[in-house]
Amino acid sequence: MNKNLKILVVDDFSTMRRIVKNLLNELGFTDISEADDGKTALPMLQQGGFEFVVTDWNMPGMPGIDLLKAIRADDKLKHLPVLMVTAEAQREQIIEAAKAGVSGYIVKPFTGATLKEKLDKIFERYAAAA
Amino acid sequence: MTREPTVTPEQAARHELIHRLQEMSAALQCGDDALFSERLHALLRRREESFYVHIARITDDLKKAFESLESDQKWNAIASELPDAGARLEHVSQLTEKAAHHTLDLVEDSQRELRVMGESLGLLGTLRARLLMASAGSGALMQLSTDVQQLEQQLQGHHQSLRGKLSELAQSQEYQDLSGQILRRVTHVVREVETALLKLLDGRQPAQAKSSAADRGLEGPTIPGLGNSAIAAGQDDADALLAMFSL
Repeated sequence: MNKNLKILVVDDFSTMRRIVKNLLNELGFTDISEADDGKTALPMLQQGGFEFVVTDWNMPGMPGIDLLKAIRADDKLKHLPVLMVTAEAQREQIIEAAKAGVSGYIVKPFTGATLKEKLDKIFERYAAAA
Repeated sequence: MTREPTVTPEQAARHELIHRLQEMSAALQCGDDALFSERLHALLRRREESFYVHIARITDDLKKAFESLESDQKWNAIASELPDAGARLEHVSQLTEKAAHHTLDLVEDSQRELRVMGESLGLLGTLRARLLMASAGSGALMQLSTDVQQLEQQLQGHHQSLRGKLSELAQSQEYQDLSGQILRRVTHVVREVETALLKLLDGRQPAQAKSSAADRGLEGPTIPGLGNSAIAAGQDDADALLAMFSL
C-alpha cells in the first residue's frame, strides 16, 4: 500500500474530518487535505493531484452521492477511488452509491479497524485491475 | 281517520324537481324553447346557489378556526418560544463541537508525546544492545541487560496500549458528528414550524405572550445572546460585577 497517497477528506463536520484524518495518520497516511462540502471538494479534485477521496453523504451544498457522480462523470477524475463514510445506512442509499460507482462504504459509527479493512480492500481491487 | 304522511324536505325537493323536469319535457315536446330554456336556467341557478351556500359555510368555519387560533394565547406563547428553542439547539451543537475539538487537540498532543516516547524506547533498545556487547564475561552486567530488556518490553507494551487507547478516544468523538446531524435536522424542523406558525398568526408579535414566556423562561443554563442581554459573558465579567459589591 502506497502511504504517500494524496487524500481528500470531505465532511461538513470539522470534528469528523479530524477523526478520519487522525485514523489515516495512524495508518501511515500523512498527505491529507480537507474540504467541508462536495461543492468545495470538486474544484480541489479538478485541480489535480489527489489519489483518494473519503467523503460523507449528507452535506448541505453538494451531498456525497452527487460528488461521487460528478467524479465518475469527469474523465480526469473517474478512476479515483472514493470511500463513503456516512451515517446513512438505508438499503436504497447503499445501492445507489454502489450503482454510482463507490469504491467502498462505511457506516458510522465505525472503528479504525473497519477503515483499514475497507482501504485494504480498495487497494487490492485497484492493484488487481491495474 | 287516516293521517296524511309527513313529507321530508328532501322528498319535497325531489317532487319539485320532478315537476320542473316534467314542465321542461312538455315545453320541449310543444316546441316552446323559451320556456324550456327558462326552466333549465332556473335549475342551474338553484344548483349554483346551493354550492355557494356550502362554500360560504366552509369559509365561515375556517374564519372561526383562525380567530380561535389567534386568540388562543397558548399558540402565541409557543410562537414566542420557538426562536429561543432553535437558538438553544444550535448552541448545544456548537458546545459539543467545541468539546470534541478540545478532546482531539489533547489526543493529538498526547500522540505526539507518545511518538517521542517511542523513539526513546528505540534508543533504549540500542543502549541495551551496547550494554550486552560490553557485558561479555560480566554476569552482573548481563543480568542488568536482561533486566533492562524486560523493562523495555513492558514499556513497549504500555506504549502500544496507550497508542490504541488514544486512537479510540479520538474515534469516540464521532458522537459529535452523529448528534450534530440530528440536532441540525431538529433545528430545521423547529425553524419551519416557527415560520409556519407566525404566518398563521398573521406575523403579529404577541407582546403579552412574550412577557409571560420571559417570566417562565425555557429551562436550562444562560445562553449568550439569548433572553436577557445583561448577563456576564465569562468569569472575568462575573468577577467584575462581584467587585462592585466588594466580593
